[in-house]
Amino acid sequence: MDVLSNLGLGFEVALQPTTLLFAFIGVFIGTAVGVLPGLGAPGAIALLLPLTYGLDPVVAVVMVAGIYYGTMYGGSTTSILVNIPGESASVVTALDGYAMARKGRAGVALGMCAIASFIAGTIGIVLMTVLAPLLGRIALSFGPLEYTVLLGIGLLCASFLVSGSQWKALLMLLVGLALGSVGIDPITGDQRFTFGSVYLLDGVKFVVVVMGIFGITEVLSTIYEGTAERRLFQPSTRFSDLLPNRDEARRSALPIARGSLLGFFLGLLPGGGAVIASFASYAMEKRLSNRPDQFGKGAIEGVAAPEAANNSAASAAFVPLLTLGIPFNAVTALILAALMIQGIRPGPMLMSSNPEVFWGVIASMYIGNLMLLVLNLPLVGLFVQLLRVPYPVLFPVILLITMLGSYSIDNNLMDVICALAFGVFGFVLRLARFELAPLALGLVLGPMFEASFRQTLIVSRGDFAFVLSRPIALGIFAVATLWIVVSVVLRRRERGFSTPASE
Amino acid sequence: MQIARTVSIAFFLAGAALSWGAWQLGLGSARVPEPGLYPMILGLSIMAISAILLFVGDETSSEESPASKPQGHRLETVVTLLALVLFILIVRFVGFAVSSVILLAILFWNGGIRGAYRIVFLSITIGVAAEIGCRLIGIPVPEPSLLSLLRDGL
Repeated sequence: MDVLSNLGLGFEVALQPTTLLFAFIGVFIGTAVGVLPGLGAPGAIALLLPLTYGLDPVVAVVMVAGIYYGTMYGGSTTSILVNIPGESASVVTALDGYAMARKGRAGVALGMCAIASFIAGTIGIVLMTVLAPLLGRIALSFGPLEYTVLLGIGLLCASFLVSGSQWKALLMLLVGLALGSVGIDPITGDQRFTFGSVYLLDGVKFVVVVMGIFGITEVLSTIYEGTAERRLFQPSTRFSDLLPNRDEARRSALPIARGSLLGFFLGLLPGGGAVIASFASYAMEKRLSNRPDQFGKGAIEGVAAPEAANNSAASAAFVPLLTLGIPFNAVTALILAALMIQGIRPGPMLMSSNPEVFWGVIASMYIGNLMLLVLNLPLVGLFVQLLRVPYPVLFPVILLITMLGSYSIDNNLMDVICALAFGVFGFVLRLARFELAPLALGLVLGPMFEASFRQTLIVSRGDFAFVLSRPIALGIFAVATLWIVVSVVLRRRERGFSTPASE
Repeated sequence: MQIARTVSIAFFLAGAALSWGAWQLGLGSARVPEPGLYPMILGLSIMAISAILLFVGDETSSEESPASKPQGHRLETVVTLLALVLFILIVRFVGFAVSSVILLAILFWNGGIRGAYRIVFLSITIGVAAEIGCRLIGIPVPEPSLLSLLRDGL
C-alpha cells in the first residue's frame, strides 16, 4: 500500500523527539488560549507565528496545528464551565454542557468533550489519509479556470455562512479582496495603490491584519463592552469523575460516530468548517433522539455530537489546504502563511515535492489528538485555574504580545502601526456589527483569485463559452450550487438556536 | 444604528475612490485585462453593496439592536488606544523593555488594578521578563536593548 508506506514516513518524522515536544507545546498553549477569553484560534496562531521562524518546516506546522486543536478543546471547556464559548465552534456545546455543569456533571461533560474530540479527530484523520492523495491527484489537472471557480465559490460560501447579515459579510469580503489588490500586480508587475510607499509594495500583510482584527479588536471590544460577572463551576478533577457512566457512554456512541462523519464532510467544503458542523450535528441528533425534550437541559448527546463534529471538521479543513493550496478559513490561512515563511508552497505538488511535510503533518495529527486526550483529562484542573486570571491583568499582556508579535514578523515598526490601525478599524466595524472573518479570507485569497481570474480571461480570450468546455469547472459549479442551497437551509435552522443560546 | 450608517457611507466613498484609482491604472478589455480591471470590479461592487446597506438596511439589525448597550466603556477604550500609540512613539527611543513597562502600567491602572506597588511590580516583572525571554529564544524585539540602555544611560 502506497498510502501506508507514506504514512510510515510521516510517522518517522512526527515521532522525532523535537516534533513531539513542539506538538505538545502547541497543544498546551492552544488549550490555554482557548480557555482564556479575548483571543481566538486565529489571533493566537498569528501571535505565536514568530516562535516558528527558527523551526524546521514540519515542526513549525505541527506546532501550529496543535495550537488549532488545542483552542478548539479549550473553547469547549469555557462553554461548559462558565457558559462563555471560547470559540464560535463551541457555542452549541454551551447549551447542554453548561446545563450538565449546573446539575453537577461538569466533570463528565469535560471528559466527554475530550473523548468525543479524540474519536472524531481520529476518524477525520483516517478519512483524510485516504482522501487527500486522491484529491491531490485530481487537483493536478486544475487550470486557472478551475481555480477561479473554486476560489470564487469558496469566497461566496464563506460570506454566506456567517451568523450576521449576509450583505455586510459580502461587503467585508470585497473590502478584503480590495486590500489584497494592494501592491504589485500579479500579472503585469505594475504597482497598484502603493502611493509610492516601499512598505506597501509587498501588499497588505495578512498576519499583521490578523493580529489587528483578531487580537487588538477582540481586546478593545471586550474592554468597551465591559465584562459580565462570571459564575465558574469548579469541577471535580478526580479522574474517575471525568468518565461517563455506562448509560452515558452508550447514549453518546452513535452521536459521536454520526457527528464525526457529518463534521468531516462539512469541514471539507469552503466556508463550512467547524462552526456549521457543530450546529448541524446538534440539530441532527436532536431530531434523531427519542428524547429530544432533554436537549438543552443537559443531554450528554448534545455535548458529544457537536464536539465530535467540530473536531473532525477541523481536520477536514486541512485537506483543501494541503492538496489545493487553498485555505478556506482564517486558521488554515495562517498555516499557509507559516508554510510560506518556510519556503513551502502547499498545493497539488506538495505530496511529491515535500512528502515529509505532507505526511508528517497528517501523522502528527494522530499524535496531537492522542496528546490532547492525555493532556486535557488530567490537566483540566490547571486549565480551570487559568479562568481565574483577572481580565485587567490578562488584557494588557495580550496587547503587549500583539505589539511584539507584529514587530517580530519583519523587524519593522510599520507593521506594529499597521496592526494597531487594523485593530481600530476592526473595532469600529465590530461596533457596526460587521463580521471580520470574511475580510481576512478575502485578503488572503484575493491575490490568488485575481491571478487565476485574469489568467482565465487571457487563456479564454474573454469568451465565456470556454467555461462550458471544462467539465471539472462545471462539476464544481454544480456541487457549489447544491452546497449553497443546503447551507441556506442549515442557516435558517441555526438561527432557531440563537435564542436559547443567549438566555 | 447610527454607526452602521456612517460605516456604510465611508465604504461607499472608499469604493468610489478605489474605482477612480482603478480607472487611472487602465482597464484594458476582457481579452487583455490591465491592472485596473479587477480593482474596478471590486470598487463598483463595494459601492453597490454599501448603497444596499444604506438604503435597504440589513435583515439582522431589527433582531438585535436593543440588546446591545449603546454606551460602552468609552474612556477605558480610548485610554487603551492612547497607551498603545504612546508605546509605538517611544519604543524607538527607550527600547522594548522600558516602553512595555510604561504600557503595562497604564493598562493595569486603566483596567482597575489599584495600588502603586502592585502596578509597578507587575509591569516591571512582565516587561523586563518579556525582553529577556524574547532575546533568549531569538524573537526580534525593537532596539535599543535594555542592556545597552543600562550601559549607556538614557
